[in-house]
Amino acid sequence: MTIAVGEIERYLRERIAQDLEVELETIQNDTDLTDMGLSSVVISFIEGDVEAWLGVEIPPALLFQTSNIREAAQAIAALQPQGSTATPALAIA
Amino acid sequence: MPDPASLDPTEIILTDDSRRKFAAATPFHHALQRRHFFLFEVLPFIGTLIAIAMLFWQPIGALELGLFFGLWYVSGFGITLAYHRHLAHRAFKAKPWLRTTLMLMAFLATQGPPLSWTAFHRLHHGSSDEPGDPHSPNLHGAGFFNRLKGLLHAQVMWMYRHDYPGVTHFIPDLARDRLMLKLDRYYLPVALAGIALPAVAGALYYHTWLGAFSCFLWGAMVRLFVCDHLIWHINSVLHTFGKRRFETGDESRNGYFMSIITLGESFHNNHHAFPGSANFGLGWHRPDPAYWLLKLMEKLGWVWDVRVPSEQRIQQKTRSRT
Repeated sequence: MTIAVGEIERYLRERIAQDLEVELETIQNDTDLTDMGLSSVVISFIEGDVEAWLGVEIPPALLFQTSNIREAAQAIAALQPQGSTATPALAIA
Repeated sequence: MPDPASLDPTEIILTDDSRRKFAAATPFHHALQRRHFFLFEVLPFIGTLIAIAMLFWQPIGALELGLFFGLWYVSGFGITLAYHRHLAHRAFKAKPWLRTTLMLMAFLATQGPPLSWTAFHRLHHGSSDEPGDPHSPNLHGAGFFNRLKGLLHAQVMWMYRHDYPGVTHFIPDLARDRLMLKLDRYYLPVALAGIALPAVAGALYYHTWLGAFSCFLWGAMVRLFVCDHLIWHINSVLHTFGKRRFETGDESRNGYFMSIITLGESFHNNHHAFPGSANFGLGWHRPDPAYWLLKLMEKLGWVWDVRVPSEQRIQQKTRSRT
């Protein structure tokens, strides 16, 4: 099974809110990824964790080139092979 | 048999080839690199020229000298202890308040955020003087001009534009270090505050614009120029000239005469031979002021697990060179 775009969006929002130590509601799907105070290192960590979760290789520049969380989630979801068996849920440490 | 306590955990991390060694080299990264290069390399160079020119009609005061040397050593101890020995090589452990203090001191040297710095430094150790080393002076070919080009690249030009190391490969141990992730976000404001501080001190002391400007030049611009180039000379000069005590598979060298002003960092060949060692001098007659400070903090109970190779390991490695 493939992970839906909405679930990837939710993961990214929760993960970013945790990293920035802000309320989840302050992070919206149309928030610019590179304009919210995340360092490039943290963005790369998030990318690595999403790769491990979905079992796909994300192009290194993807999260820096998409303009917001929604676009990033759509691009990541499109990388999944159809009918794959990715783990359906990921707990954020 | 190596002493397990003296093994460098970063060596273990670097054996993990399953993760990407390089991440992104995007316009976003290159824009950050250009901004950082201009702010913290080009401006201090220009400021230093102005400060030298001003000496002809404005004598340097005690406050300027105090700010210059004081902030130089505060930021220098920060870089070598916090970024280099603690974060990049995990050569000792420290209480959270001390980790925070040392990191804030290191920010004043404007050498980049701690996590990126650590990733670059581990990349350097993983590919020292080989393709992939971000700041080797030895990859530009033979001949005088190519060697000069290599030195200039290693000293300063590599910072203008470079690939970005894959952090999941090089610093996975820091991905869950909440304190470091938090501090990493405050690098730029603290670094900029460190540049503004001498001007404020000068304004309060002299009550003149000229006094504020003079303190800004010596406490920020000249201090950054001198401090950063002293550190960068380790990448360039000490991978080209100097004595090699140990066989390390690269071109790292020791520079005895710079040891006091580089706070022990100039024993660079020793460091490449024993990257996990908190002691770079490896001997009482090789001054390593940062290690002396570390030993004092250990006695006070502020740091622990200070890792140093056994005399036996040092002797083994010395013999392997002869």
